[in-house]
Amino acid sequence: MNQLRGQDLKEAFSTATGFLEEHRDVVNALNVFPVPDGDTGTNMLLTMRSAIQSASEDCPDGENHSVGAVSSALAQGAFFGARGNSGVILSQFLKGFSDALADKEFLAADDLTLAFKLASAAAYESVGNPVEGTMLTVIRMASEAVQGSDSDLPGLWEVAYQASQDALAGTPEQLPVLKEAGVVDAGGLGVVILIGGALRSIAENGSSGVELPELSRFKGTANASGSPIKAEFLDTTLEQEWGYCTQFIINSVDGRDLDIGQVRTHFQGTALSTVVVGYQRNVRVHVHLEETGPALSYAESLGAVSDVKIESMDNQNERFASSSHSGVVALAVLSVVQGEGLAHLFRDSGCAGVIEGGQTMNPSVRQIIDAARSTNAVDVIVLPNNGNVVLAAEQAAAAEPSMHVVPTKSVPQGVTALLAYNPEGTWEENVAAMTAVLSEVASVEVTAAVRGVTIGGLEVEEGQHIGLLEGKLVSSEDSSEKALMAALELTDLSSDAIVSLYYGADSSAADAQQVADGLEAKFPGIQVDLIDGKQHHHQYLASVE
Amino acid sequence: MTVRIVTDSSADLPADLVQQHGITVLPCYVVVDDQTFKDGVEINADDFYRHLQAEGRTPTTAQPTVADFQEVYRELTGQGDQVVSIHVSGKLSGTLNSAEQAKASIDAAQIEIIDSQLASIPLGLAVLDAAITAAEGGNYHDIADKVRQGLGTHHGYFALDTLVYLQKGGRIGKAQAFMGSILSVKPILKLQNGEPHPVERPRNSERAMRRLAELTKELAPVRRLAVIHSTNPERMAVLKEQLTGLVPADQIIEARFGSTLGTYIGPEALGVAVTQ
Repeated sequence: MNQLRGQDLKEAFSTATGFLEEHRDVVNALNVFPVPDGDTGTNMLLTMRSAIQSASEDCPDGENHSVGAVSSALAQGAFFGARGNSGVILSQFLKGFSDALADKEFLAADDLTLAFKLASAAAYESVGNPVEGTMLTVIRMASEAVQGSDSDLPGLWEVAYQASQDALAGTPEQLPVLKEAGVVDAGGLGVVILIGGALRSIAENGSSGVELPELSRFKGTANASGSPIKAEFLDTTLEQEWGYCTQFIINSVDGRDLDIGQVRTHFQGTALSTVVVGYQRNVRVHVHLEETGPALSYAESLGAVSDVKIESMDNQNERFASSSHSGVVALAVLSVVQGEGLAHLFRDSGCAGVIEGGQTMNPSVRQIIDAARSTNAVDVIVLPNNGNVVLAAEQAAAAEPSMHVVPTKSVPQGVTALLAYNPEGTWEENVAAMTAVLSEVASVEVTAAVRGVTIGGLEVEEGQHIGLLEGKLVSSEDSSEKALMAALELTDLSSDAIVSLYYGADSSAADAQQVADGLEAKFPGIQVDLIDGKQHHHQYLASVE
Repeated sequence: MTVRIVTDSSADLPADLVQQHGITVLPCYVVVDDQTFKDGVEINADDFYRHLQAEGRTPTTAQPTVADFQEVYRELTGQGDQVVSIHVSGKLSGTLNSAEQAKASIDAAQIEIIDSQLASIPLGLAVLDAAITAAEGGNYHDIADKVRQGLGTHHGYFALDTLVYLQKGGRIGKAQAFMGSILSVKPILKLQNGEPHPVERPRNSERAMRRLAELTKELAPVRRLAVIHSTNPERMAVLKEQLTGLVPADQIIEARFGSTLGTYIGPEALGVAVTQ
């Protein structure tokens, strides 16, 4: 088979998705920290399912389709179905892949090398601060391997598959936290599985010839239980800077394709907080600028400019005035939280919308967009409240210019941000104020270890309670209260500190009160607020500010 | 001919200043346990807050009646004086209606009525400014014009212990956004366009006081400064201490939320007003 038809490509990705489904639990189980979260396998699987569903709808079985049409449908579906950081990166991989095949009827070997190249570049671009030793590295090394190869099409997939496995095996050397935990990156394993799955479909000798090889090779050595582990995913602290927010769409004229890369490069050189997304026909630009004139002139030199939205105080006020007559509100906050108690807390504190999800259930980009729309607000500020939801929220905001993300990585951070929200301010003022307070709060999470591990000299046995401070493992104790106290004692508990303690569904108010009393006795002058969070998975969440 | 300044008890002006500047204050009414009292005349603040915090029916307020205004306006204009009557925001109270009706019922009365868009001690400062301006001479139209032009220079911030009283009293308005009850916050509000607006949600009263001082300092330079409390003079003294850089300590006016304002602002409230 020297080239693939559209339906072959669809079949290949479908097989890859099935392969991922088979092995999703292996991917899910890979956690550096033995906390019940991550679900990288599930996130990647759900993203792929959305891609496959989109391809099935746009390019039904039993008909001939170009690889351009199929890959474009896959990318579109993945974009809106993306969940978690791994799903977002995967969706951008597919976007790059489809960009390379846009005009192609069939996929030949040299098309595949280009597709991998663009896919890798797009994956890197999707992340604010790319980290090596993650699925990005696996994608890049697979791409680099096929660039130099003169194999035929199945041979290229084989090359990519081998390279992805080598890259995955090398991730612990690149990311110290992986090495310490004796594991490989979960998202990287997901990529290996997907490439291997596609190879099953493409390989000359049929699907039975490809198995997921030597999983034991990737298994950790540090963990007593022998179950494989994975990385806490990318730490995507996207730097936010502020200026005048300018948004518009450039539409191609006279059938001339737009060069999205050129547009992105231009604005990255001249503007802050640049987001440039889209396709050959329409490119959406969202940039923060001091002067908007030159940006619009540049855009007009490329095509017809539409949907221009320039945010200033005056405009916001006008929008508020005009919207107050139509039942539409100017501004709303949308939070991602898990559990009835926390949902109630966020609503009570001024959130217009709450998406159920977080620790073990990351909402898709589409869900976030839909929830934002249902708030009926002109602008929506999204609080992801989980490190693994931040990127999906950012992707939603890239697709929907009315959405703005304050990258809260934990529930306590989300509450602090929400309390800095003033519905009478502009979204720019609020995002700035809400982001600024994030550095003033320390977040503590307490959960039960799902397996044993040793990290940073800290030995954890399965079933013990562990405390995480800013996402890092800091304590391991027999009881959740002890783990909480140990983690809290590492924070700044000077006399005007305020500790907010959210006790979970598995903890009692009495136990929480005891912790509060203990803290107040040990650190005179501090204030401890107890909140019935009713959250699952975390016996306690706490913030110190 | 003298121009006399009239206001109502929701201005929370201390009695010594009222007397010193010859200001006429019409008491609003407060209804406590089905009994009606004239604010500051028939019920003092200590008694009122004791009632407010006790179990029982929530106190309510009522504007001065048309008859109350007629009496004051007749007395003052009967002496040949002109009147500038400055009152609590029309968005918060019907006091202005009473004043307007009373004015209409008196033939050829030389009375100007002004909606201050303010309440409590920020209104008090506007009234004080008006009295000082009036003492410098000019007719009631001139004085009223100056008062209206100066309304934007009076500002107030209030740190509340709870928004419950504001809500029960039906004056929550835009501050509704800060109404949450699960987290214990000490909301800071300001007066804007004649009604309370949300400003910030500090987590405890210490931080609320600190922010109150910081927000006030952002309004510098100021010509006049007042601090006010409902039930905690000690905390007001601490707040005053933090503001002495803005004007000398002996020039800072100390006031107390009377029973009209207290009905909405509740116990443990602090406030600051400035004239820029």
